[in-house]
Amino acid sequence: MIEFKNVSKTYDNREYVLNDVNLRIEDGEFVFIVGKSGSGKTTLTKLLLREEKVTSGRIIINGFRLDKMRSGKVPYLRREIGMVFQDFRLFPKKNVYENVAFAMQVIGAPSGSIKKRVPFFLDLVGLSHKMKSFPTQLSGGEQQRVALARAIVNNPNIIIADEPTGNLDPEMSKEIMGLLMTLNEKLGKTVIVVTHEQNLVEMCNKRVITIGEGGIVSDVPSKVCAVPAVQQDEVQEDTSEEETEQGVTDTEEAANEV
Amino acid sequence: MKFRLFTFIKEGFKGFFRNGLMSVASILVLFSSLFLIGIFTTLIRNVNYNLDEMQDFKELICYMELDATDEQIAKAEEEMKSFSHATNVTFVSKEEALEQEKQKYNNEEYKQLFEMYENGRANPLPDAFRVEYDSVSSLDTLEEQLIRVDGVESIRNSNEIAQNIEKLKNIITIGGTWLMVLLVVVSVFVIANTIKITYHSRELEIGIMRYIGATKYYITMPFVFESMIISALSAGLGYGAQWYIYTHLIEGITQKYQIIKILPFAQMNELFLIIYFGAGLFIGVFGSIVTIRKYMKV
Ligand SMILES: Nc1ncnc2c1ncn2[C@@H]1O[C@H](COP(=O)(O)OP(=O)(O)OP(=O)(O)O)[C@@H](O)[C@H]1O
Ligand SMILES: [Mg+2]
Repeated sequence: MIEFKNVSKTYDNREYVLNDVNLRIEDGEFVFIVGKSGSGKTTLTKLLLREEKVTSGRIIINGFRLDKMRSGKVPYLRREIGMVFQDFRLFPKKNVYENVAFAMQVIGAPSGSIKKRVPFFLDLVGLSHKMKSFPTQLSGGEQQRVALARAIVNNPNIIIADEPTGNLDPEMSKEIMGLLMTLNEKLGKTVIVVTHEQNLVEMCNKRVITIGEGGIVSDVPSKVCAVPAVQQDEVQEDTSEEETEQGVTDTEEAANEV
Repeated sequence: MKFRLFTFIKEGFKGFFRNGLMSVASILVLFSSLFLIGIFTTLIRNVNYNLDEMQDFKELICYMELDATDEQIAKAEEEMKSFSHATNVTFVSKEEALEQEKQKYNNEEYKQLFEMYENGRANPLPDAFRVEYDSVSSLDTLEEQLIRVDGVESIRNSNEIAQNIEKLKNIITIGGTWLMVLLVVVSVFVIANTIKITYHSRELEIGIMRYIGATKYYITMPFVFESMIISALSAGLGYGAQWYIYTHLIEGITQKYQIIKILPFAQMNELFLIIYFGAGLFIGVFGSIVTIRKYMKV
């Protein structure tokens, strides 16, 4: 669970980017964060990762009190959050497999577990055939899928994506959104997506939080029955039913081993 | 954990070679600093050693008043011998003193003068004591004690050489220490600069590592190893140069100028090892950790 209580943030002590924000995101929710450029969306994700500290108020994530957290603890918070960025942020000198494996090495995972989990998650994002490729040899959509595999390989229960489709064409954008929805629906991850793209938001029919003028302008819950059938099918195409079911058991199995 | 240590060392070497020229430059600067520290230590240690060897020079002359009685002189001698810093007290009578002066100025010009004294003119020299003492540091105390002794007129410190060397020793020790501190600081900056460059060349990578939950320790260790490689190479070079200089050059000089005594290399070895490898590694580790802490954002 993610909770903001009276959170304010200013960078220069004059203008408040966020002012007295209260927010609650339950486990397993899928949330869009939208708002004009400069409204503070990225700031919000930085607060969640404790890359920035709150000016006042408190943030609680999975029992971590971020406003009181010592910097030595920050890595452990981040291991519970998978982060995806607009610019992918892959290691250019590592191939696809190594990029994902590195996330596990960094937290000291045993090599047996790495050898099992990396191929599994690359398969989940549909890239098992490109394990040896380097980031420069991949399309934007493929790179973002590697980044997604890396974000989830350590089994975090929260995924935050800041403009994940900002550099992608509409077709690839749908692919990535489909994967994020799968992770939410099939693996129960909490997913937070920051985006500009109104059509993606409309297509997915999820909770939408709009921020602006230092606070939450609107917070609209998902309309349960409004899912257009066609779009739902599109999502299903990316990861077939059996594969995903298989995925859930494997993930749990793999997770138990770490 | 073993596996991790291996990874850190491997990454350290990678950084070292990636920075090729910069690494070489750092080695040269660090080597020079360490070598200068070594030279100063050599100087300080050997000056001290020579001073300690100059026991013979540690002596005061205590002049008695011209009209001091034999009784006063006997009492004074006893009192002087009781002072703990006085290691040896020898009486020099005015006759002996005159005789010594005569030996010293043994030429025609002065002959007449000494003949005058021999022919009944009052001896102008006072009785005196030659007081040897244990160390230059106790000189002040001893002088104060001596001047209070009944019948003592004045004290002359015949040991100007020792005093000058003591002064020199102080200057070298204080100056040398400051210079060493300065060199250590310079060295830390050199290492810090190298690590800064490596750090910036890997900033993006480090940023990603932070996002995926790498601890500062995990990120810092390869840099620490990189600077340890630089330090170890500088230390090895410096130690080798020091050994060569010490055994060949310095020992050659002492054979030529035999008044100067030099400690054998074996007696300096331990100190050299501490300076080159101890200080070298300290500089490397400290310099890199400080730099990383400075640049690594949470
Ligand atoms: N490190 C910083 N120092 C000072 N000001 C900052 C910093 N980061 C962001 N800001 C300011 O905070 C405000 C919000 O920035 P933020 O990046 O959160 O906006 P955003 O909603 O993500 O915008 P965009 O849609 O363009 O990405 C902006 O006015 C920005 O100038
Ligand atoms: Mg932004």
